[in-house]
Amino acid sequence: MKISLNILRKFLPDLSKSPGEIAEALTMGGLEVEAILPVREHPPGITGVVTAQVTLVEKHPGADRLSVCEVNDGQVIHRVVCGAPNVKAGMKYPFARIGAKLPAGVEIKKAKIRGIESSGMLLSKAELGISDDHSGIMELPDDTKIGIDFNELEKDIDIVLEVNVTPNRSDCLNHIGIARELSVLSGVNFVLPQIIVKEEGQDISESARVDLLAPEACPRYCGRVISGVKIGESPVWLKEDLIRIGQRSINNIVDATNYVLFLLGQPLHAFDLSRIKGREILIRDSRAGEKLVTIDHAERELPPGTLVIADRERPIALAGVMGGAETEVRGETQEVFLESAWFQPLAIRQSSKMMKLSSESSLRFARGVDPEGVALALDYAAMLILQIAGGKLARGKVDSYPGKKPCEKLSLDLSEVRRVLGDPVPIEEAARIFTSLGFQPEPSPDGSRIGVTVPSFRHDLREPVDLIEEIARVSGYGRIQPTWPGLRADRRSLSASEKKGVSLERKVRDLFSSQGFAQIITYSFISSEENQIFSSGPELRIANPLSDQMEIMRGSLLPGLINTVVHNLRRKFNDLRFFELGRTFQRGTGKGAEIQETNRVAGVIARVEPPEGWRGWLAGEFDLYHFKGILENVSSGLNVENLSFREKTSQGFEPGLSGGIVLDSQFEVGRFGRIAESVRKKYEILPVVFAFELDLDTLLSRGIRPKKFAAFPRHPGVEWDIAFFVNDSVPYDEIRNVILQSDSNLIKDSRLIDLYRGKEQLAAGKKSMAFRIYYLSPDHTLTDEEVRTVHRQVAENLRQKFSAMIRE
Amino acid sequence: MDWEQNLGELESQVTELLAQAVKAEDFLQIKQRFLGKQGEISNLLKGIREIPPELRPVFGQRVNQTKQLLEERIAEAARQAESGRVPGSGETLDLTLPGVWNQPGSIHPIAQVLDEIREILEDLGFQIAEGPEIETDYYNFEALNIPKGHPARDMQDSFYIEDEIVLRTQTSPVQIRVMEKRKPPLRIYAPGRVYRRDMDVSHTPMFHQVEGLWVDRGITFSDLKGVLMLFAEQLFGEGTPVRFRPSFFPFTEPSAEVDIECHMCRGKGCRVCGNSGWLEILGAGMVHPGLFRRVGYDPAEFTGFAFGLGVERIAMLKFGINDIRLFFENDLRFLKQF
Repeated sequence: MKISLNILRKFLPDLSKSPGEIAEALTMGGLEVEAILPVREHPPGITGVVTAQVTLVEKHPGADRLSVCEVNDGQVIHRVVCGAPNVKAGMKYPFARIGAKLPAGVEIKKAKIRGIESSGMLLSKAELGISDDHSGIMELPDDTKIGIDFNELEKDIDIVLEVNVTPNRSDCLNHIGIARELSVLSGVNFVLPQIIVKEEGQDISESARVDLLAPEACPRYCGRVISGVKIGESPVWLKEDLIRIGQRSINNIVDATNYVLFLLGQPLHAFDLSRIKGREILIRDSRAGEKLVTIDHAERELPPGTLVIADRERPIALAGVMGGAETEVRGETQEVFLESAWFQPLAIRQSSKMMKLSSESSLRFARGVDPEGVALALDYAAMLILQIAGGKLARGKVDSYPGKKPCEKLSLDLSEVRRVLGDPVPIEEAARIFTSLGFQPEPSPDGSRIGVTVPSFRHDLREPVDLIEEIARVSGYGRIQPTWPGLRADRRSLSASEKKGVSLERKVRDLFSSQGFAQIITYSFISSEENQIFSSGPELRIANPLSDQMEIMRGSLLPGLINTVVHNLRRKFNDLRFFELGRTFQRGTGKGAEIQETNRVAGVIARVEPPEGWRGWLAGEFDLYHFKGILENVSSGLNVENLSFREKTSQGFEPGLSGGIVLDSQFEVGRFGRIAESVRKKYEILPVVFAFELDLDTLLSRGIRPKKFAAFPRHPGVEWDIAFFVNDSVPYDEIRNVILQSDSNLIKDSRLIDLYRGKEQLAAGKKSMAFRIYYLSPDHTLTDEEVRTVHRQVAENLRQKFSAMIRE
Repeated sequence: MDWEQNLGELESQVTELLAQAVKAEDFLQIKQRFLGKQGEISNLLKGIREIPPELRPVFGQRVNQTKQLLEERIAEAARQAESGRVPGSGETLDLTLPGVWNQPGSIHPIAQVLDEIREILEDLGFQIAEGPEIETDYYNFEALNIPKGHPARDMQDSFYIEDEIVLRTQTSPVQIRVMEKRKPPLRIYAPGRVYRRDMDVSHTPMFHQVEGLWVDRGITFSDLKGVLMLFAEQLFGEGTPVRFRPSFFPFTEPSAEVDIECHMCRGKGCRVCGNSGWLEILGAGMVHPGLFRRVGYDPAEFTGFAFGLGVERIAMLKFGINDIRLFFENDLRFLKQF
């Protein structure tokens, strides 16, 4: 919201604080000033105006009100006749030399005024087009240099404040509201501008009739008629004021209504009365099939039940939102019906939403304007129109106010103030603050309570706590002393699992980053095409996405990782490791199924070239077993045991080069392997990419077990090796399990120490393996004979289970 | 013969020989050949008689200079050759070579700042709480005093999955979920992703928030000030000036925005703080009685304060990052700096 200090002064004539002080006062009162913008531009079209000093003032011999001055413009002394009451010798003023041009196209010529020749003119702000101030010539500061072109004068004509008005303070979306607040916050005197309207001629009832048919949605409707107006451009001061507060000038009538909107916060609309059929104005709900061409020249269908202004035949305006093109004020308009109303916020919000149309008016109506200010704003606008567009104001006005309500009353228990703020507030202080806010406080006789009447423009005060905020805000948050409540620990842990989740995430993060992975954070929404690469099942679609690239809540973290790989490959990085921690989303199947959110971690490794360096780490080949090694390393770091890797092709992974990750032989917790060739081709620039994705929630709930110490015998064990040929298709872990289970009492461990699959020396489809077996008895040192017996059993089992051929 | 030329030749001969020398003996040999009693320098000095008397002082001085220079160079070369040699092996050890290691990974700056915030809050006794990212309209809006049509909904344009199902626009719904489950006293914080339908130079459609809530008997705005001042000082450094100014949130009353003094200009006003001298870091307020009534707490018995902050904003201030979009571009040139 743009606020001009010049306009504010209409309400705060004594305002003398600096812009910085004003901004500080408003900000600390809850109206944050986001910028202080000086207005320096001079009105266009001025030439030949310079700064000058009046050196002598004498009375005009032929006229009481005129003076004859000597004016020094830095080059020569001019003799000038001046009618301003404020001309004084020694002062500096803007001076138009002969030949100077002023904004309205006026050219200054030599002239004889009451017998004395005047060679130039001292100027008022109005003559310069800066404001409507005709009261005297414009005084320049003492330190102004003389002879300087007025256009170059570095002077702030005005200051505009950019104020961030929070949605609760609709009363401050205008100058009068800000002025009121500033008066409260800084003690400057607030005055209401005088409104004097001259009514003449016939009564309004003879030229227009208003019928309020929707008193629920429109509790108050006021109107006036002005005839004989002359539509034209607005005066320069009005145009300038509108531009400063961010508005466009249209014509004098529209500008006047707009000006009053930003001045007093009351939206107004001017109709060309001659175009209102039957001169009848109805406030009613729209009927099926009705249409309206709004002033933006769009034809709009009106959903039945939309609040409209209509004439005898058709809707002529979308109430509170936008006027109709058919009845808008135009060049030939002579007779104007001026509308000022109070519409129910909810009604305007609904029509604005349904019509997908909003305006400065609808914004204010939707948040609530002052029902008691409706007629006042109407008169102010009428006064302004008479002043700038001429015409005659019909006698009387329409004021239909079926929804008049008494102002709300609230009562505040002063002990509550202390209970909420921590600091007590004396009743006198509370009363003083409420008085300044216009709340008409009534302290109770015992001093424990204070009653207030909420002003009609404040829609944000509903319960006592709102009054507590007013006290805190006006007296200043800075005055409330900070305290530190006892930091006693709360022993009931609400969030054991969440807490464990955080520490698991932190561990996962540290483990992966120490393995060279960079953590990334990508958006939770991706395109449907990307989502379907790694996920199947029903998609969780956003109804109003920003683009189709961001329309599906991701079913997997992998698309974001692949995109990050592509982004960085394009920037010439060639050894990439990324991981992301985050949630994936899934719509459960079946009726009434809930949306599931799962915490996961996923990562990728993509290498175009091995890392550079004088002796690179893992500089050589990198294959699936290296990748699996990283995952095993991490799972051991997380203290997750019983993870197994099974061959299983999941969506987006290459068959035969990928697998599933299973916990306790039954819970699927993830997948890993090489990304499918078809996916690589889709992205064109992708090298070989290894990827994994793990479900952290399942790992957390089932995988992580408390550590248990197992006693170990003090005597040594022995290691015997066994080597054999076996079919290549038999998996390692099955063989190892058979070895371990051959004697679970004495065999403590077994480790693969050699694997040979070369074509030479081996029959096709066979492999050679060697295991080292660790034998240990819990209670005695094993003899060779004992070990030999078990070792033979191992060999026998391998022969029977896998047709292994033992190498002696 | 020109003695100056001779001196020059001696120097270049030494340079050449030093380049080939490896072992300690090599350096000893060079030293004897040039600087020994029968060495080249001594021989040169013997020729002093052939020099005209007036030039002899100059000659002596120059030869001595060369001698000193050669001594230093041979000694330095020998020292360099000797250092780093592993005793008893032929190998040379250069401990200044870069170590062989796995290229380091990195932790996302948002995660780092979140950790820092978490630690501070946990020290203050706040416990973590979590809630879904896909929320119902009730928890995200209604229960927080934002009924349909409330103007505060305009501030947060939201993503919808369907009617009544929304991507949470704030972490505040966790307040309601926790209060529904538990009775006071409670002191929780809720970190996580939030979503708003907004994308431009200073907005991303997803970002991170941390919400805090403390409810008990006798909690006041004074406590809110004390705790959040402590929080701000721990996050931005002790003695950081903090100010509280009135603001509006539908779910708190009174509401405040909390600013710290701009660290770039020390409060004088600069581009970073928009000439105000202050930087906004979080929003806070006393929990609105309406929320308590909704979850079945008696507002006459309990009071509480809540606060919320944007993690990206804090990270931008702390690291001097000027474009929020960098956080989600995941460019390694960015990530590797953290």
